[in-house]
Amino acid sequence: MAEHNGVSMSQMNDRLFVIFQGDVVPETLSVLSTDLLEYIQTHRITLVIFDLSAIAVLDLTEFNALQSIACMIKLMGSEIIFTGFNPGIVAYLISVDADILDINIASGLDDIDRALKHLK
Amino acid sequence: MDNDIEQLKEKFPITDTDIELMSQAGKLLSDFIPEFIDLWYAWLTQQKEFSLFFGSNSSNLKRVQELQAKHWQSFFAANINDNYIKERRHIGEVHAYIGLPNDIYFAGMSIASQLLADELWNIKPMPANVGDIANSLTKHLFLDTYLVIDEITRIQNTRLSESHKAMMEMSTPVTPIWEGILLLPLLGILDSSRTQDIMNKSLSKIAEERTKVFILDISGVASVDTAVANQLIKITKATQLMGCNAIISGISPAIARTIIELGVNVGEIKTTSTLRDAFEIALKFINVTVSR
Repeated sequence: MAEHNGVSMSQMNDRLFVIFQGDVVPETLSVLSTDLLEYIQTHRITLVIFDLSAIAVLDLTEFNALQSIACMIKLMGSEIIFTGFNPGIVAYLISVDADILDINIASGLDDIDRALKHLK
Repeated sequence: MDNDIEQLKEKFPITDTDIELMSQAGKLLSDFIPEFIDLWYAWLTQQKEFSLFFGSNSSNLKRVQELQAKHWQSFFAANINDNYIKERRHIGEVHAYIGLPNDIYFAGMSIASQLLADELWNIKPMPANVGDIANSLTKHLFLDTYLVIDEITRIQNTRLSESHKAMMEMSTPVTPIWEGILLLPLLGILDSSRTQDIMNKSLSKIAEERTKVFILDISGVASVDTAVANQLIKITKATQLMGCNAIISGISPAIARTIIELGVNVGEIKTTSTLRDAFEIALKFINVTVSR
């Protein structure tokens, strides 16, 4: 998989961990989505985990871009779980009425299995 | 039928006077017909279509020439009735059957018209109403040409609609791949008429086979835009209303991106990137475990 600025990925069995580090730039996400979707198809990934714990600031545009990728991943037949939202980001997303109802969230990497049982 | 004939005569417009003039033309040109046929075939032998349709089959050529002599007799009799129309339509049927190009038929009619008119204008002593006779002749030639071409068009349209029907049949291969699992692999371009056909066939097959899972594989669909995506969702929702679990498989990265970027809401529909994944899910739905 191609290298992406501020994003590292690692695969464990049929799970793919996508760890965002630093700022999430929509342009980077657009390129990332292409590679990510192809990787999912080639490697038959069934679960993608977006780890945002290293992100301090996330605006609505960036969140919507992430959510779009999540929808694309779901369309490809894989499940997607977000983890590592920091309280500041959550408070901001709620205040701007971001559509967070449809996303699967785990409180941390150790909470993935619980979240998997309650997929939306 | 009589009504149709009257309408046809009115349209071209052929009056009783024209029919009388045609009878007059028949008398004036009767001696010329054998020569006319020879001249017409002399022209036809120069055309590439001649060898294509007659080759070296002289008996066939002789038979066609005899038929043509009879045809021109009936033409000058100008008795426009059911039989007259049937004979012209039969010519169209034969032309359609052998695949005669329209250009050679029109060219042939043009040559025939020219040969007959030349002869008419050279008759000595020239009849006073030669202009009217030539005019009636032209009207009847146009009517004949129309009847032949109309029949060719009718046959071609029938063939076209039959092949379209066959194509539609082949383009919707709804197949049971496991007890309770129905697969519909879609290929090519989707439009609203095809979608309707797909929906009807799928729903009937679901009812017939008591299907539990319906897999719609779109890996062969050329492109997905908002209209196509909505049509696919409509099909899937309809199958769900039949009590069937629907899965759309074959979602490529490009299609996934297009659907999301277009803002199409797929709702609760299950989607997968490969048919293999969809089949695995389908087996789970019907509680089937496959072990090696």
